[in-house]
Amino acid sequence: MTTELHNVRGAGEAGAELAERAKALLAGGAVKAVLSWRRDLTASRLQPALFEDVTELGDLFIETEPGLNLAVYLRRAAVRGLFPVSIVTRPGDLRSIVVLVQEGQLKAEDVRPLLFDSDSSTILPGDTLAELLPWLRAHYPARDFEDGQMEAVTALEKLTPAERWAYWKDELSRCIRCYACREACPLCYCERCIVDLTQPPWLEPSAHPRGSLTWNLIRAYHLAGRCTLCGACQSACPVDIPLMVLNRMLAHHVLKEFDFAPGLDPAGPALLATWRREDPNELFR
Amino acid sequence: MTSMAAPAERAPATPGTAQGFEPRLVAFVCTWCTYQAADLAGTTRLPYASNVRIVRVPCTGRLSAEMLLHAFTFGADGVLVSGCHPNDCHYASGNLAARRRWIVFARLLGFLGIPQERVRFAWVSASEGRKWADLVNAVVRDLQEVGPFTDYHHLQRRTAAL
Amino acid sequence: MSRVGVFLCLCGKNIGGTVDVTALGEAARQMLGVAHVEDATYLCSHPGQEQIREAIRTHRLTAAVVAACSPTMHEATFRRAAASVGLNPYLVEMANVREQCSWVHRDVHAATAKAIDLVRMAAARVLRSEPLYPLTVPVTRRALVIGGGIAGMQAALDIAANDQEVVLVERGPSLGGRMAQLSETFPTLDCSQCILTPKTVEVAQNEKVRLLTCAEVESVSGYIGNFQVTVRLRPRYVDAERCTGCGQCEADCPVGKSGMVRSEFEAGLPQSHRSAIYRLFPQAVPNTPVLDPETCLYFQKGTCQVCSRVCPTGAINYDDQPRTETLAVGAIVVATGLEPVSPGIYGEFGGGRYPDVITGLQFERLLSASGPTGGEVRRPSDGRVPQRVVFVQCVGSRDPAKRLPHCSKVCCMATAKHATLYRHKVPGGEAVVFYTDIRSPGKGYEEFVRRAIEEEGALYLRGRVSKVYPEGDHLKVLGADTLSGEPMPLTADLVVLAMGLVASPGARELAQRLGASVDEQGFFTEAHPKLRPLESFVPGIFLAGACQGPKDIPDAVAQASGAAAKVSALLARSEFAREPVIARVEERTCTGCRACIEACPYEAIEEVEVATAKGSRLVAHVTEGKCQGCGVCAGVCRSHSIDLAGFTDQEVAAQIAGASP
Repeated sequence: MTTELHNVRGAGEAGAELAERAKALLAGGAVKAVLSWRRDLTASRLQPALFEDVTELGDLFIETEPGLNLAVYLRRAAVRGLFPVSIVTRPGDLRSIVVLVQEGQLKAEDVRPLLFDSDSSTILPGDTLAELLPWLRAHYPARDFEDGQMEAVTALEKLTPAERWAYWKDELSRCIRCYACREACPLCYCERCIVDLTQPPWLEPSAHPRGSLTWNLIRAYHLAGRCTLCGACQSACPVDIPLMVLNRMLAHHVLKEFDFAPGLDPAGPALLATWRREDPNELFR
Repeated sequence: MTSMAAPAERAPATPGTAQGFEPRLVAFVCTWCTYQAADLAGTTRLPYASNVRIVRVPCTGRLSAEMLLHAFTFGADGVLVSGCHPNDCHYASGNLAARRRWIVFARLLGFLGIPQERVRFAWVSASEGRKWADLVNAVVRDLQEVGPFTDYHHLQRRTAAL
Repeated sequence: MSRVGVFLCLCGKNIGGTVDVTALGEAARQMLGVAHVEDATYLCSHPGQEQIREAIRTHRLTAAVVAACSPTMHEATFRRAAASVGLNPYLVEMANVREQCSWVHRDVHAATAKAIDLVRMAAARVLRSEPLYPLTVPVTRRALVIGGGIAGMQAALDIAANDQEVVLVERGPSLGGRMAQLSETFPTLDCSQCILTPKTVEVAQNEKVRLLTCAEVESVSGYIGNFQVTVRLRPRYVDAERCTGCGQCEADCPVGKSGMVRSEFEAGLPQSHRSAIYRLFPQAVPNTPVLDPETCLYFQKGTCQVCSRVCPTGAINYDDQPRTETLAVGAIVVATGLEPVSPGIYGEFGGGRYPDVITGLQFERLLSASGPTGGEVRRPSDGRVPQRVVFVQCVGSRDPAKRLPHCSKVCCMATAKHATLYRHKVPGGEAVVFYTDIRSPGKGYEEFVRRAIEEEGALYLRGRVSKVYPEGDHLKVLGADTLSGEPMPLTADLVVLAMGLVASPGARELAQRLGASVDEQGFFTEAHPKLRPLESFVPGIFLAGACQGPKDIPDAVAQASGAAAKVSALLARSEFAREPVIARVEERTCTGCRACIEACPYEAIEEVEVATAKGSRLVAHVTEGKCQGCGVCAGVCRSHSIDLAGFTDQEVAAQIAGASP
């Protein structure tokens, strides 16, 4: 998951700025804690970390590969007890925070996000949702579907249905139902997940190929119009299931069919809870 | 799972053959429109394929994706969802709320390689008895072409690496 | 311990003739939870219901499956029977083995196999059902009638006679509807206005009826017993309190004198014209003129204002504004009537192109003493009295190609009437009727048509007309006489087309606002074509008159009185018991994501705060009175924390699973 470490503190203006901004927020009392990454004891990987003490903030790192979405910790009681917190985010992470606000799981004032844009290697100015949203809206969702990212989706779409079925049956049969994907996703916050429901038994809970296919299908479906493509799920999957291919396909579909992109408006409508007269009708006889 | 019915009641589906294969079709229909249309087909004695089993709900908006998959899990070869035409929903907009759901769901299933003949959607109003009969016949015909959904019913573990 | 009773109805031969009920019974006995199976020839009959009740008692049944007709027929019947012996009515499930099985599948084996599956599905479902108890909601004891024609007026008067308040909303400036446009009515040849005006006056004077004209229903929300209706009132530009009905404004309006504007009331006859400020017809109720800003010189050009100068009481108010009013009502009657199809869709007849090819309604205005020709039959082109009039029936009816497949019911009689009246007014004239069939089923109707043919001398030719075109001063009509097998080209001075009838413009949009259904021609769909012709699919919304389908005046009046009786029954109580099919939230697992709140079409769900170990959180909460039981919330909830009583996840899942053995 972490292939390249990026020590922002030593990486010129951007790195210094991140550390300074986090320090200022914490020292000034604007936040009670900072959620970021630090290098682990063996200095070989990055770990998520919660800093409550300004003096510990010398060691800030940023994960440039997808890895974990730190927003997943915003639902933990221990972290909530420290609201407002600052949180180091990439655009997909920040957008997932916007969806959490939209869905009543967070309030905008609970977080002071610091946004790192890997394209320009800069920390953006602003540390509130309101300040950061214009930049997000200017660059997304276009950046979600640039060349290279849609390759796998497009390649699969060129296959016949039978070929696609063979592909997904194989890929999804590896699933061991560890639910790392669900745990790593900030938007999978249901206290009682659909798979925990035993009556009626919508999904088979054990790692049975049919149940696993249904699990991954339903999870992707429940994320339709919500997933902000942060990539944490695929990073977390221990058996390398190409979850982002599914998520990206649906995100693209939702954009094309409904002109809908999640995570850009904390007061916006939920995709599947709303409708427009003009929604397409071609599917219906 | 829920019955101990005597085995001779249903001719078993012959896997892989288009001829003689009788698909199982579960149709989710709304009380106010399509269910009435199906009744109207009855009162006007319009014959149609007997493969369909109707599950009635007040509105197609009541249906979740999980319910459609549940039908497949319990042996359906195809699923049909039919409700009121847009703007005619008995509950104002239940069918419009459902519409988006199905578009996304159908796309996802198609991307996974499930033929679109297996999940069909329609608007059939209460006065469209003939449309209902024609719809069922058409869907069953298409299902006979694609064959039984053994792909899903008999998902097996991959033998090699696992 | 569940003990499900399965009751199989043979329905005479309706089910028993196609489904092997013995095999069905055998299979049912093996089904999980089934403790008892029996059959009967007619379960809905009194002995049949008694059989069910006895079985419930004797075998201590905890739920019942009735394999019979459609639940829309008899679910209520069997539920009542169960309730009478102490079994909760919501533990009775029907398997539709008639309309959806024996009546549509001919093969005994296939029909039986399907019936077995349907019974298994119903049994599996009912094993998961819970007892439910009706909810009561308060009833607003006021009715709304939409449409001020004969049906709307009759309904309003009948409801008012029960001492219940009525608001009557009429789109046009006056009561009267189509009947006001008629000259005489068949078969008695009563003067239409003469029998209509007593009704319009009665409505206007009835203390319980509040009349709103120039008014349209803009939106409807709520549910039976508790509708909120927004009515939009167009400005009349005349103060009804001050207006004395003297008619001076109308007489002096220069637009009227110019003859530039055709009168809508005169069905667009070329000889007709009206003023910009006008009464629809002399006996209009209210007798207050209305100003049409589209044709008024003051509104269009800022000039004129003659009407306000000549009005003796200063009743003209150019500053009148539209306004909206919200009404609370418990029941709604739709009485929006019908309109003739435009003749333009039949280019071959030249209606709308040739001035002497007119519609039946236009001919009615020629016949009317208050019409543009004072009751004289004169050609629109040159004002001459036509010596031969050809009547063409079934124009825009019984025509699937033009998507008008229905028979419009009244045109045969109307044409016979037109031929008769023409012969009365022009004794030397020839009336020729091209007909397809003659449909005269009402009381005195056949005799009326016979008189038209045998005594009034109308010539009836069975055949269609292929084309009408001008030939000099006359019209050539290419007809046929199928009884003699001869083509029948005729020369006519005037051609009258009996146009098919469809629902009034705006019916479809109104239906959408009401949540009711209409068919392809815009007629409102009744809850059941045989047994519930006065109710729409929406509880609390009733149908009266031709909006439900073409019909003559006696049928419209009868239907209106029937709808009024149903309304009065509803409004007679202060509370109404409604179906307990409503949504329920499982607070413990609700994440407060608000998807259900956004999805609910009735805004029946809100967020509420609930206490937790560490403080509080927001979860969804359903307002029972507003919830209509659609289940959209349950369909959208990812965690399945909201469920629909009567159609729970468990019930639906069990039914799905039961579809396969």
